[in-house]
Amino acid sequence: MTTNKGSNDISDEKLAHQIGQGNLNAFTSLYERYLPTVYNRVRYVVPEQDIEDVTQEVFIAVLESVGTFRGESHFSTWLRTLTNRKVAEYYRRRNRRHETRQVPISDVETMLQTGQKTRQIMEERITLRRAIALLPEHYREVILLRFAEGLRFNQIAEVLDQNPDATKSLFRRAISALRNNLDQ
Amino acid sequence: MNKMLPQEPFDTDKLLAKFTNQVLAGENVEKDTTKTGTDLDALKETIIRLKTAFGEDELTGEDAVRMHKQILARYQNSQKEPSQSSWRKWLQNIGSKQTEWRSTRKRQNTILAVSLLAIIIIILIGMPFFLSNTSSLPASAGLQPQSITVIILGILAIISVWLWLRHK
Repeated sequence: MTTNKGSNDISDEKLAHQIGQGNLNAFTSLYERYLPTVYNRVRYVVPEQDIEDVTQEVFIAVLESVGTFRGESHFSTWLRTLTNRKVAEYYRRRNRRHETRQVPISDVETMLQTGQKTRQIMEERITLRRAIALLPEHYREVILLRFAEGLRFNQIAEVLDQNPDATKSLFRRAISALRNNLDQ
Repeated sequence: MNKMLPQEPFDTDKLLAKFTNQVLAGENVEKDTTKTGTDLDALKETIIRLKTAFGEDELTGEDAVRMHKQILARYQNSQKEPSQSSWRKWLQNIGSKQTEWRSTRKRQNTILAVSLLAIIIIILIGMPFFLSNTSSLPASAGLQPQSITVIILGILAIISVWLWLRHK
């Protein structure tokens, strides 16, 4: 995940270790670094009214389970996995409440509350979220890495352990699949 | 970049990647987008739709501070709650799996099929007992010992099936 590194240059991994020892200031530093990325990733896949809640759950999970972070991977990779897990949990909970994944009720509520000006954007977001949700995981991931996290293609290639050409090809196929979903 | 038509998928990959970089960098690409009549046009349009719909990061500094407070409050509340014993967590886990399991229509049908099969097996097993108990003794009152055994076995079988289904 991309970061907004603040004044201090302490590594993510060191901050994670400090959080594990109960240092809430370290948590605040990591929170400031990663909030925009986590929030952005969540808002591409979660209905409007639940974005903040799911984002908060991700950071609560960081506090609760940072002890399980062994430093074998980058903290950003660990956080990305945690975020995906929390989004999946959110949808499992919602499915248990028998809410349809196709037209999220909370999204419709938000749309009704907004003015005419933003209604079109809200409608477009609902459509796009639905199309993204229907994508296979590897397609969804490459789109989120580029759009939600703002990674460049060479950075995405590193994250996915691919060469840049293969990443661009995957991205093109992902956008093509998204296009097909939007046309359906 | 749009003056050349993509010759093969490899070109399309690169052109789309470049176009995406330009869009996300905020360059005004819409004016430059020449319709090539290829799939690339549709893909470019999708890129623009994504960028337009989700736009820039909407979080303000105030939002970040408010959320930070809420996160810490929620975390501290969760720490205050008594921790559940492991057996209770296990039971809850079983319960949630059971709910998910039951929510699937296909699996409900499987339960129904297994139940019917179990009843048929019970009837088949019990049949010889019923048939052997047809001796005509018009004056006999009450139940024969064999009949009582059949009834008890039947009840036990039904209870077993019910318990098994509940456990599943």
